[in-house]
Amino acid sequence: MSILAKNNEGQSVEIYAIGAEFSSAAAVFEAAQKVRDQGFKWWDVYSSYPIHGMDAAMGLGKSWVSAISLAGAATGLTTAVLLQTIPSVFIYPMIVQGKPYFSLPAFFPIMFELTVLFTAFATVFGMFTINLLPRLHHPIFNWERFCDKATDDGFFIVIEVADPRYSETDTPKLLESLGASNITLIPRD
Amino acid sequence: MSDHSHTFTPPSPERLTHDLDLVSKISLVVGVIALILSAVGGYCDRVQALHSYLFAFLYFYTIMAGAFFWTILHHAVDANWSVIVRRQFENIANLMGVMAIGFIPLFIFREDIWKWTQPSELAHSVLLQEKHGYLNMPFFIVRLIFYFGFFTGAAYFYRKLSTAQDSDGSIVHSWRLRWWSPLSIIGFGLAITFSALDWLMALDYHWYSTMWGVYIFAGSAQSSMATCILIVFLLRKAGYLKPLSGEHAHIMGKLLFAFTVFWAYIAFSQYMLIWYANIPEETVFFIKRNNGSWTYLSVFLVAGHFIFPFLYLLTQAVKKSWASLSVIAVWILFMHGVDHFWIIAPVVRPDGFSMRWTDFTSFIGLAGILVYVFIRILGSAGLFPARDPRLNDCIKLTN
Repeated sequence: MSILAKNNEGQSVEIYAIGAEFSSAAAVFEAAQKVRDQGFKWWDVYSSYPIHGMDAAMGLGKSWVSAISLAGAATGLTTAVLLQTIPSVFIYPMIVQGKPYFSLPAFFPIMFELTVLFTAFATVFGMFTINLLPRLHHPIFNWERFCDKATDDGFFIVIEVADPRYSETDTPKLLESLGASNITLIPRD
Repeated sequence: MSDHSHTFTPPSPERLTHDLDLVSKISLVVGVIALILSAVGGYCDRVQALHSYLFAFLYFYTIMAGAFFWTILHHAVDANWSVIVRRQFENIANLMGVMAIGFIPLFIFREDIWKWTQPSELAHSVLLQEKHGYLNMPFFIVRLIFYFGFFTGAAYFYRKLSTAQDSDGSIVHSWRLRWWSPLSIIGFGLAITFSALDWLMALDYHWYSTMWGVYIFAGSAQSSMATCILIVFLLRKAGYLKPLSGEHAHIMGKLLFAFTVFWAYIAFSQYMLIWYANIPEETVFFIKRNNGSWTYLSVFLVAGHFIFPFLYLLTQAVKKSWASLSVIAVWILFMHGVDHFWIIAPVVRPDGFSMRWTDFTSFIGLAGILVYVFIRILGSAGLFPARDPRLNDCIKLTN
């Protein structure tokens, strides 16, 4: 299903989403709560700085990144144990400083470091994957006002037309009733 | 976001309304009886009983020092999350006066605990002669006065101005407390480090570790956070401190988690460097604790003081619930005891792990008296700083 609209030249274009601008962080915060309560799923809030408590206001659940981090940590720990135990106990057993071959205290720093390193990688790349990043372009940049203000002093809510709750007539009205200005249909291309 | 809720009614000041008079008196009686039993134990075996008492003394001393640390840290960084729980830290830190009196038996019988204080020791120990510039009696007494003077005075000052704000609501108190907090941190750092050196490291004056002060500090900050979590949990059970939410629990849980890791980091750094370098003068500490049945306690310390709390506190949900947080707080307070037992007991029980009944009596004795004084302190002022300028921020906390 694709939703079409006429552009300035009278051609019909496919619509990606509907965007709305808000005047302040407080306004966008309250609007986000209302949009959440309406049951929308495919939508996002944009501001030039993080707004405290926005995840709850948007109804975002707990992120799964921490589970990926834990998996990374376990992998790092195992790697470090194996990479040290296999050579220094089985392949090249050597007495160093009169310590036993399997000297856990000597292995700990590497175990710690690799756990941290793998956790960091898992976290960053896990976050990228969940966010579908990196990508070179996004349909939202077809909205000029958004490009001008989103990283400066604008506060936006964008609801995708793919959302099952989206309605051509009701959604703009909803945004308007929340005090939004510049309600715009954003083309996909 | 602080500006999206337009109506905000500050919580009304709370005071302890439960009658804990009987509880406090029972704990005082139990405490005094237990201390008398300890004294009897001391009559039978003075050295063992004194070390039992030193163990109990340092267990509580470190918790109070840690509570003072959290109080001044709150002011130094101008924190908002901790406003409501801050009064409990102030209350715990104010027990330090009891510890000042509690040190008297240790001072009187110092020669049974710290060998370097024996006048005969100096003549035949070259090492002690080298360390005499620090380990001498006049300087020891000066340091004692500094530790207890600083902790008692500063803890009193911080609670005094905080309770004064309860009655007049003046912001000047907050400013004054903040102004003094960086200086207090310096004083705290010196006091906790050198008291740890004087009372624990000097149990064997041959031994030294440059990480000793921070090792004791790590355990002290961790256990005092656990104590505060427990007190807040109990107060909430009794119907107080209702403005606190799971968000506050989450922050305290995160700090508990952080200091669990910090303790392990410091403990391991201390162990590994000594283990690797293998210098007899340094390894003596760990040889005592890694031989015979003490080994099991060492392994238990690593597992119970770090690995178990680490895994337990890893998930978010556990930290957001006061009940699950207080379970691990009890465990950490138990492990804090194991930690100090592991530091002190092997010095006088070289044959292996053993516990004396004086360990229990001196612990219960000090605990009883401290509970008595704590209930008095708790009832003497509001349960949270009700007119602190940051109270609103604290209640609306999200993280």
